[in-house]
Amino acid sequence: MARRKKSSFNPWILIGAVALLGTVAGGYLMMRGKSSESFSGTTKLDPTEYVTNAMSMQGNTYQVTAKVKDQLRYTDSGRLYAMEAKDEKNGQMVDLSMLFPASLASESIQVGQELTVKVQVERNAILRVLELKRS
Amino acid sequence: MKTLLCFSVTLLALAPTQGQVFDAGAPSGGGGQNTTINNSQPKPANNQFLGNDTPFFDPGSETATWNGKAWNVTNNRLFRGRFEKYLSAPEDNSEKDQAYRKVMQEIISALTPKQGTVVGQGVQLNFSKAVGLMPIAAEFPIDARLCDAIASAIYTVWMVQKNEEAMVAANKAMQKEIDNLALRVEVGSEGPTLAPQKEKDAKAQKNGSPAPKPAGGAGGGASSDVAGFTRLGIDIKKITEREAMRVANVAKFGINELKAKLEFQALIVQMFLQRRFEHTIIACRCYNYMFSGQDRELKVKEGSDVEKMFAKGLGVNPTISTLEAFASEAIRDVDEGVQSFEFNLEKSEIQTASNRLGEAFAIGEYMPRVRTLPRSKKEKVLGFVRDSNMLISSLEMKDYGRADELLVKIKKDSTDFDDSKPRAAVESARAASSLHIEAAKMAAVTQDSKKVEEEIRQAAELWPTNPELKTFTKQMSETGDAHVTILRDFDSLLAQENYRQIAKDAVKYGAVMLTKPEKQKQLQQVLEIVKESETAVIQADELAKRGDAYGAWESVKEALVKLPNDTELNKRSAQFSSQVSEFVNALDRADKLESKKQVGSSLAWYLKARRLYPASRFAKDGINRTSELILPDENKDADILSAPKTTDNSDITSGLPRPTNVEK
Repeated sequence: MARRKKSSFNPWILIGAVALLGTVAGGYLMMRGKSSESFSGTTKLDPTEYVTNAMSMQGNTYQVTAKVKDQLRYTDSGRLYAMEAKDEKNGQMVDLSMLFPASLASESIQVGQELTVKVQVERNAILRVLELKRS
Repeated sequence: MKTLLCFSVTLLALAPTQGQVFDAGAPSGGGGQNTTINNSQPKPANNQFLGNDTPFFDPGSETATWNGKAWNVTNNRLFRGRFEKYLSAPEDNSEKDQAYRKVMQEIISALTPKQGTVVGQGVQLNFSKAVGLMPIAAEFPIDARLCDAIASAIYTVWMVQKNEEAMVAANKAMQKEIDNLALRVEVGSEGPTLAPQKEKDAKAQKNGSPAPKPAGGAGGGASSDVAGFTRLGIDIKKITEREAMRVANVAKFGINELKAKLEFQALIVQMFLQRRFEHTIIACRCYNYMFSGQDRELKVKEGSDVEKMFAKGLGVNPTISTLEAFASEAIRDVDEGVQSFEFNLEKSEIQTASNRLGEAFAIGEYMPRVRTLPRSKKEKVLGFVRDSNMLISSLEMKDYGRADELLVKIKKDSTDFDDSKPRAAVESARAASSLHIEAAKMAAVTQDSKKVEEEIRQAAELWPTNPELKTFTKQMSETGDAHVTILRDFDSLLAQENYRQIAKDAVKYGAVMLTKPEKQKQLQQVLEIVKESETAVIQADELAKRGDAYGAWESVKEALVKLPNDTELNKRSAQFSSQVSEFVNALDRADKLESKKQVGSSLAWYLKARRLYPASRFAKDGINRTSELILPDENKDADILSAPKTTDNSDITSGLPRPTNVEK
């Protein structure tokens, strides 16, 4: 009877793969940690508060994650988008508008995208996007 | 004869007893001189009474023409008034009247030829008695002292005739003196040298030529010759003077006699024209008596109307006897007229009776037969005459309504009344007036006020008291008032923005605004607004039926902008607002924030509204508007912070979709 061939599994390969996976995961985590660190210290926007009492928020800078619904207007000065953000308190979606100035013209913004942006509430209650981070 | 009588009536009615110019015309024997007697101030040649401009009566049409005008004799107001007065007056049957008539009858009887004795060429009448009765008759008021006038004329003639006798006597005396003087001259100039000359002078004196003065004496002593010649000259001069006086007396007598004759003739004619026929007869007979055997021809101006009238009627020149005959005929005619009146009255032929009495009255107003007619008989025609006079007045004044009533009454009272002419006049005027009123009504419908005015004017000219005219003008007046009220109501509703009420009465308002284009324009605008709101209501109801409460609410809201107080729209607005309260709230908040220039958060609310009702026109407009404010066009150089909000601060529930152009 023929003898069953002995497995040729090399344990080093397994070790190498695990090490590679660990490197990739570590890199990812490192990169991720670096990105979050850019909006770190920025207060999250309470969208319900904004739509009801924007006057008290003027001049402040917030970060908010919102989904692009549609582009309302586009000029050389910038782009105006209708967005919706989730109110973390009640889980309801709140409609917002955000002005992406010309400095962010290079950013490609697609309807349906979820963006985490740093915004400033201007004195006319306009949310001007200062930075954006794609989710 | 009738023409002449009516002529005299006309004269009385139209020109009674005017001053006269009696032209003797051509000389007629006697003195052989022209004489004109003026009893008054002379008048222009073309306006002389008894001259060329006398009234003319046409018996065919019963009209008198004078001075270029024509009158209907029996229809003129003066005659009607006098006749009516006569009918209502009592008969002249008092003792005084009877006494007067008795005196007049006695005068006429005394002057009637059969009462006297014909002697030779003249007629012996009881002339003195007649003349003696004249002052008695003149005392009665009805006589108007005409008998006095006749007596006065007679006296004048007597005086002339008496003067004539005196003058004849004077002339005889003068002739005798002349003869004596001639004899003295003849005796005083006896001598061989003077004899032939004396004979010659005597002859010359007889021929009427002045006696030549003696050239000198011949024979006798020189002084005696001179004295003789002087006495002779004086005698001859006296002879000449007496002869001249005698001839002058003859001429004077001729003139006086002619003057008296013409005055008497003028008196007779005047009495005839005054229809004093009894006096005419008396005067004629007196004239004939006093101027018996002389020319009796009336001295009227040749070619005058009076002369023509007599000449046409008789074919010969009028005489005193002609006038007397006319007067007698007139009296007979009046008697006959009164008899006819009484006969017609018995048969209840009131119109005919009235006509006969009217004719008799016109001719013989002062005749005993007319004056003594019993009042009871006259009263029977008085009512008819009054009604007839009123009918004539009504027709003259174009009061055809009153004329119609009178026609019915008169026809009922008088069986022989011929109402065809007045009836035709009434009916034709009525028809014509009614036609004009109908035309005015038609013009009123088309708002042709000028035509209305013209038609009413013509209708009023034809029949001023037309009841239809009164009704129509009243209607027009009321319509005018109603128009004012309706227009006032319209303005009031317009100020209240109660457009739906205006639309409800649009026909009424439209009717009164036909001539007011500015009002028509306002009405048209209101109707368009109401039409839009109606459409909005219908649309809203339809959308609501399909479950689109958002769309229904928006439809109503849009219409409320133009009709904010419309009950239907407000009712539906309230109804749909409760169904889409979240959507309404989102729009409301968006609007308020937009007003506060919080365009960022305002846009957020508009976006919420759109999420609730993606087809929302209000949300879409709001999004567009605020987006433009946030991100204006480059070329507009907009400053969103300074950009004013274009809407007012009102609640969105009463607002409109906002304009897309935002002022900067």
